[in-house]
Amino acid sequence: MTENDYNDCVNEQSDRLFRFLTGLSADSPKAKDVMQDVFLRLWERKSEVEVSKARAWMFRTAYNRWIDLQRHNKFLVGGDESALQCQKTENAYSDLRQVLNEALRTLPDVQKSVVLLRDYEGYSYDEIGKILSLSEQKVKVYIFRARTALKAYIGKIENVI
Amino acid sequence: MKITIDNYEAYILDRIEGNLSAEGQKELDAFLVSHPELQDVASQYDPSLRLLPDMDEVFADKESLKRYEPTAISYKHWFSSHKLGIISAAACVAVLFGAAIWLFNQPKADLTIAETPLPVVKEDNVITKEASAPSIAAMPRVKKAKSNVKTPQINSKDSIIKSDKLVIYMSDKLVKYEISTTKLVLYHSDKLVVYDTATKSDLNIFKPDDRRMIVENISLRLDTLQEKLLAYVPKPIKNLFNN
Repeated sequence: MTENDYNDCVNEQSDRLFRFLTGLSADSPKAKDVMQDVFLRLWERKSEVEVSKARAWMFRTAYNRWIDLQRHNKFLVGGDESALQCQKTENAYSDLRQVLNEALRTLPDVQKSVVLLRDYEGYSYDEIGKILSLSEQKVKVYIFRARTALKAYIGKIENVI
Repeated sequence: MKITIDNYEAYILDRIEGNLSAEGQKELDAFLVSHPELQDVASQYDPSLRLLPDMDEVFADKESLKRYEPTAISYKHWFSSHKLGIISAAACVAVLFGAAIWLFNQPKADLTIAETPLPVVKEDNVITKEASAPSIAAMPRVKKAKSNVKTPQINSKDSIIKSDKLVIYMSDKLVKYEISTTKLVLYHSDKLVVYDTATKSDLNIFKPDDRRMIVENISLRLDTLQEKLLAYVPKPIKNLFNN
């Protein structure tokens, strides 16, 4: 990957990666921190990362970085499960997308990730497995559980789209 | 792979999406029969439920992520692309060097000690040419009279020298001195201005813009015993007290 390839990645992938991370974290400053970290690592390893695999590499790195950050935060503050429960009940939802975003935050990180990569990025189950280091079958299990949990959270809906 | 309690959802998903083989369907049905509590699981899955990205949500500061390798330019390439600049720079250096030599060869200014009494301050706090009264030309000129004057130490910049009534504050090139506790005098090349320190109460009132009032080639000496200000000024001094 050359300097130009890297900067093309910034132009083409940063918005996607940012949406993925804000979907994971619902915390824009944290998402930006991880973004900076991911692109810094990409720059440092640009000689090793092939252009065709850069996108998947960035999502994998972003996910791993996010998980590291979560583990660190849980160690520091003992997790934020209660915060999630509060979010679940205190808001009056104005639209379906907001409801889904709220529902998304109640999922475990791995389920959030598979459903975001599937719905936002259109990755296949196999590709998601490679990004998250999971078997394809495990990805399907998580997708199934995530969608079932989302549906249970928001109640019966006909079509989100 | 055998269907278990840990992976049966993957088979249900495959069946919903039409990707389960006939053999897999049979296995799944058999599994669900043996686990009646899971019969309704499939109905809880809504395949139409999709998350939609908010396309208005973008990472605005892309420039902060961009990086560039340091550029290595060969000497020849650099010289050819900067030829005009190099020639211009060389010409400037030559001109400056010539100017410096010319200035160095000029006859030195003949320092004159102008011994002047403290100026009278007018109501508007500005000493005009008339108010500052003593015509420089009329001042007694004493050459090499340093031995007659008790010279205060004004050696280092930013030094403050105090006496009972007089303060001199030297800050780099800006020269200020206070005549009394209520009057602050700023001396610069063509004006003598008095500020009332009742309204400008400290010596830090001078803002950076005040540095334009630089005393060039003037040094101040204070006779603390006689409470006289001694201004060492170069010739010509005709504009010293002009407006």
